[in-house]
Amino acid sequence: MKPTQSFFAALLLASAAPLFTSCLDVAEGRARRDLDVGRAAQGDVGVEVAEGLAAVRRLGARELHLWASAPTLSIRLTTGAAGGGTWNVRIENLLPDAELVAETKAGAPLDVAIADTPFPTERTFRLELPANDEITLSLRAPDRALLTPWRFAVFADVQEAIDGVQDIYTKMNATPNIRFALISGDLTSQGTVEQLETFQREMKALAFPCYSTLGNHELGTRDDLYHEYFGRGNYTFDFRGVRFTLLDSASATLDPLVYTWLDGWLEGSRDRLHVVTMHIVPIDPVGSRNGSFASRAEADKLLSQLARGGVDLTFYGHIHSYYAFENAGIPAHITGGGGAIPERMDGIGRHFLTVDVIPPGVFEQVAIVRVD
Amino acid sequence: MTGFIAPSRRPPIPGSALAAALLLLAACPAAAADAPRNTDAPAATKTDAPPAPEASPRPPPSSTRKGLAVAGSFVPGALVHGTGHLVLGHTRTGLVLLGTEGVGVGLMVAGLGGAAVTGATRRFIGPIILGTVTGAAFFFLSALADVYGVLAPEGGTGSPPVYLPWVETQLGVTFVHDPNFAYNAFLTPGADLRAGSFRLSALGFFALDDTNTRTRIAAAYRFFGPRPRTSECARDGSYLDVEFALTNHSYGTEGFSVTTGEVNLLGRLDLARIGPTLRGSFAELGLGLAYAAHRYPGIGVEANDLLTPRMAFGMYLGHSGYPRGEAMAYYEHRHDGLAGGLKVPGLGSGIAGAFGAQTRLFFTPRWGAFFDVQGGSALVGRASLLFRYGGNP
Repeated sequence: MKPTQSFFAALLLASAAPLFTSCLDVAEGRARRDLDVGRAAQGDVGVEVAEGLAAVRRLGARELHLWASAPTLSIRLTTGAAGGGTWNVRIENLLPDAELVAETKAGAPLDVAIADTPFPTERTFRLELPANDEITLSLRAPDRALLTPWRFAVFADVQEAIDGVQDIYTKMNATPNIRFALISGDLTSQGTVEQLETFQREMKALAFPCYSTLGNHELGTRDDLYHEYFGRGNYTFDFRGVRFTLLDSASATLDPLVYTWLDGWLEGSRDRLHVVTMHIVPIDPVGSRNGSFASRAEADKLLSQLARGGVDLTFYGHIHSYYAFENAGIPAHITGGGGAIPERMDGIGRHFLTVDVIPPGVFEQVAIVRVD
Repeated sequence: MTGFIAPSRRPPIPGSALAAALLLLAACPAAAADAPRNTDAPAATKTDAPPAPEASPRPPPSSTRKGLAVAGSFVPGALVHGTGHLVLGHTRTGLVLLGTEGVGVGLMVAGLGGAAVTGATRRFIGPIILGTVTGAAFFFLSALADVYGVLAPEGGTGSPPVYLPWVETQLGVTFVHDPNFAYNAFLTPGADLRAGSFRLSALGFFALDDTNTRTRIAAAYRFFGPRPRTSECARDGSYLDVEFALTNHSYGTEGFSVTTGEVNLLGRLDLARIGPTLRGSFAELGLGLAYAAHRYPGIGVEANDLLTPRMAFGMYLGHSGYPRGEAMAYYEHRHDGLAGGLKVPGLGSGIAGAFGAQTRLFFTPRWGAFFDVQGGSALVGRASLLFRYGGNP
């Protein structure tokens, strides 16, 4: 080739520069951040929430503030030399009837008093803790192991409609027997500090907690803010005969680290119902729209893994409508009716879903509750 | 004997083309004003001697003006496409590129606006996406054409083949880095058989370090454009194909397979038809639809559709002798395959398809090499040895 041709070949390659914008590990940072959720230390005082199931909002002088991501928490609090005395443990997003039990490392029970209950899902507990000890705090729901019929709700995609979300919450509060709700991402429009705080503030009107994962709109500002406010994007917990697994598919992919976690979470749920929730659906039922994973191959890989793992039900957001379908034989529901720009001409509008569970082995029904 | 077309020839316009071709072809009469007067010469015929680039009748631009044109093609050319040509004095070509950009912007605004207004409704999202991708193609291709036109040497970087061999085979290796899959290397054989306007193609990817196999067979019909030598000589490298393809991708380790049937309309337009400065460059636009059957062993089969639009900008390399071939940068909207779609930080991940660049270069009449790199959910690189026989161009 002549020099001019070489030059043009180089120019052509340069025009494919977007190729290099592909970020293969786009979710890796968030997956690694999951490992840090629930841990904090200040001097010789430290706290660690088992499985990272709560975000540590504050660890101060005899003060602990958590945002719960699950109905049941196990918290290890190391008091150190300066940590003895009266502690205030404030927990947000808890079940209204949850109780806190505390004991020392030696197994001695400690008295726990309720200092404040400003909202149904927020409580401040007061404890007298010895110094230089390792205290185990257990947040428990009285019905956590009960295998009787119960109900949970699912919704997603509130985004810019945060000012109108109380309509949904009012209807949810009026719907009987909802124990908690799952949020399949896109709580906010840009994931700013103000929007995340507003969302948490608006949630106070609910009579039950919401366990969420993030959506792509939580990545609009920074991808580490969500974890500070709501905790992990990938986690699992059990409640009343059902395993719930929430996954961070906000970047239209799962990080490879999450697949290894998922293997363990699936293996541990063979004897119970299993619900998996994430924001972006692996394969959009309207394939030409592709409101789904960036890679169809990865989508199939995930769905195969979920199917082999015996997952019973999947929920997604991202698409602002309601779809019921099957993916890899698993019943699937897209519920994006939180108020973001709705899909037109679908006759759906704002809505949330209720799921009736009959443990140990049946999901009786998934029902759509219209808000508008 | 060579079938390459002389750069000075300005071929007439075929009667049918896909949307991009039609739009650009519509500009040809205007482009004629930019073309050298002797481009009215007869359409391409077989020539025995390599054609030589012909000098433009207009005086060559001063180095200062050329420098300004090159700079203008980037700034403000990135926003006002055709600026380079306007500065260079090729007003009509510049205006055609500007108009193409305008159409592209219009289609993108209409597409994105339509998606927002309808909430990406399932009823119209297919046409909305195809319109948006087509608009993006017009936008980006007009920008690249402007840069090419002010930088290209007289006669362009190369000339298109006007014949194709009736058989072309390839054997190569493909390297894939996908963080979510174990495979890294594939053996990649393939073959194209052509007879008249028909083409049969087969391409396989056989993992060397995993149980993963992707095979694709395709049948295509060429409405116009270069064909094997027994057919009528093409006037340039422009073509319009309709292609039917069947792909089976088996993921043994992960335990699923996908069979995809698709139909694509793929066109190439030699941009010499727009203006003489664009000789040696071409644009491609493809529109297509696929239907995929996802098989999960022990569970069943689930069907899903996907869109397969594609756009590319490229250039021919070499007028005569060897090495000779072509290179292009391209975008594929499809999200299946080894590359998948693009993953990006922020809230837009998963929307775009894969970007890539590829080069086909023949070092002798029969032997050549093919290089391709793609970036999407995975990074994919392919290097193949090419062998062709029968009516070498």
